[in-house]
Amino acid sequence: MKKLFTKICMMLAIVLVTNSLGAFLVTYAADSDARDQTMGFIENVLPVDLSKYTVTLTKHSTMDGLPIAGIDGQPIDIVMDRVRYTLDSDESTLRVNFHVQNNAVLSCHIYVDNGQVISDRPYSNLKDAVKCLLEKYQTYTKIDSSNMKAMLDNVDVTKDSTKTIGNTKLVVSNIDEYGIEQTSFEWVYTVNGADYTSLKVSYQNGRLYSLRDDRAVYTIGDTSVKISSEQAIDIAMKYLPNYSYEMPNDVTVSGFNINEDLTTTELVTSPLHSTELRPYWYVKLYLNQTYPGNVKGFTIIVWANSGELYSCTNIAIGGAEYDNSDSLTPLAEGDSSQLKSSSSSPDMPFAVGIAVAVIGLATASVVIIKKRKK
Amino acid sequence: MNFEAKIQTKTIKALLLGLLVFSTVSLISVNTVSAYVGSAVFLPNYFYDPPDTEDELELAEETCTYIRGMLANRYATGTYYAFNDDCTVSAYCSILSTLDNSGIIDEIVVFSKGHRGYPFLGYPWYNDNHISLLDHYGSALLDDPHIYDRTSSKNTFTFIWHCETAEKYPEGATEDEIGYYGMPYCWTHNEDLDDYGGDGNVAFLGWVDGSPQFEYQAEGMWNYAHVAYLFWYYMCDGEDVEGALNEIADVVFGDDNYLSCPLSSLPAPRLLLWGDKTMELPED
Repeated sequence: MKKLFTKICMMLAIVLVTNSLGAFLVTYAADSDARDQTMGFIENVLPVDLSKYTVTLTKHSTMDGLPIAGIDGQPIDIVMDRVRYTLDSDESTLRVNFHVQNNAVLSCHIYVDNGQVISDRPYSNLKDAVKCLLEKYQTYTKIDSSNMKAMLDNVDVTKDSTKTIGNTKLVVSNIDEYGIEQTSFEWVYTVNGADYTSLKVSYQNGRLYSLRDDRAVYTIGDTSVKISSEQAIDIAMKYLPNYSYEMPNDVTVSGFNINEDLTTTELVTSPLHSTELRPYWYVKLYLNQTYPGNVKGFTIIVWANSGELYSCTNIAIGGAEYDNSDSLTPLAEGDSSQLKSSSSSPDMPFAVGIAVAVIGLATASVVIIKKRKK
Repeated sequence: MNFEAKIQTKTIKALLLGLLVFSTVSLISVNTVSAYVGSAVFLPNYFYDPPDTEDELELAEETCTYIRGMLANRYATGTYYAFNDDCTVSAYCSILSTLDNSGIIDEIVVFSKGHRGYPFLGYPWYNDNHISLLDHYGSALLDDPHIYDRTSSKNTFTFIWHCETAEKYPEGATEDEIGYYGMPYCWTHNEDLDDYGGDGNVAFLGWVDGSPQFEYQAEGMWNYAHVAYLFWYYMCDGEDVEGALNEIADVVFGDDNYLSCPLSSLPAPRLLLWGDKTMELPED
């Protein structure tokens, strides 16, 4: 009887654990560094009166790579923590989302779910708010931001502008769309005409909405630009006769005619499977007509220091303009018999499966006990 | 039976009874606190006179398989899909009808990736109001009657990754000689959606002008397959539309938010939301 009792208890325990997992499929990462980083940001940078809010951690998950490879076929192994806090007060509820990468806060978004933000102090104007934010942010990051603050002097924040002092470029931009007035300030580290790391803050309708700072996430590698824009185009054009792509039924498309008047180049440093930023030419070659596969041209990456070609991918925009008036026969309403079982499968509710298992197990146990009693 | 055995038997009975009660309560709390949600993923991968490269066909199937998996994990009530040669006008219509007429499903989530057509540019009349979604064989799934007649206000979350699917709204909410037109109204049956609005609990996402093929490079190592994948990843991880778009702007485009990034600005491709940016995926 004791053995039976032990067996049933073990089965019950397994079922209970399984059932609980099925009911609450929520996991949280155990890493506390990201929480410390983000809580520090809330306490030291966020321009809200924290004495009026209750701060609650409401999400912490980790994205560890993507299952879909990058443009070059290499896996994307980016690791990023996502942390969310809810700030509750009698007057408003805020949601604050963070991305943390390489043990540094990469970005922060502040959403007002209801009410008005209770500010940490009154600000005389937007420029005042940005300067105060920079001061607090400098203390938090321990990265000197005094030059950034100084660059705001004599800037009309209502107008788009670009101002460069040394290697720092300040870009002020305004967007008025969807009833949202957004003013953004971006301080970019610039070398040899290429933009590297930056700090960007955006205010929507006068309040801080987003902050993105990749200075602590990325390092800067070789900044030399030994290849000119024209040379990069030449390298791309010379590569093109060797390039082809496949269509269904083993058809290969090659031999492209480029409309050189449409060619563009841009010197960029967007990360390519590395946290080290290096400059490359982003060359866009457009075809003289749309080729099979809706291919209208190619984006070609050429390293600016070596001239080595990194990748070539298709510029392809969907769309087909056909008169299909011969296929307009209306179908019978709700004709589910046309569903193919191989391709259309409503998934069995997981919880129902668990319930059936539990009830079956319980019934079987009762039957066993009754038999033993006899 | 001795006294000890009787006690053990009673204990087991009590445990079993407790378990049954617990399981029942768990099921009730899991499945009835909110609406039943059905979802569908369509990928025609239009094959004849092919507008898609081999890489595009493979990448689209891989990406949509992941999206289907995410939705199936979230929606136990039912996730339908039709890929490749199974994705015909008939399959579209059947799945949409099944979801709309199920009798138990309160909200419907749909993602479709493919191409659009203009079905009425020739005989018997010329009409460029109406657009269609092309199935695997190039046949037209019409905005009205095919889609409109098989959808309703239950279609609260729709993302149609075909060209020009964010256009012809709100004007398409007024019938012309053929019927209602454009994708936003025909999918949602809602004539009050704001562009990138803040309320209403309905979201329709589509493209202004051309929709990017998944193989098209978005920025750096990222292409638009990643944009589609990450959108559903973030939505299924509890973000609202605004949050998901901001996360994509951050991770893929290196911008601080959606309004700052190329997704929201012309020249094309421009992704546009009609409806509620604060909307999360409905809970099953």
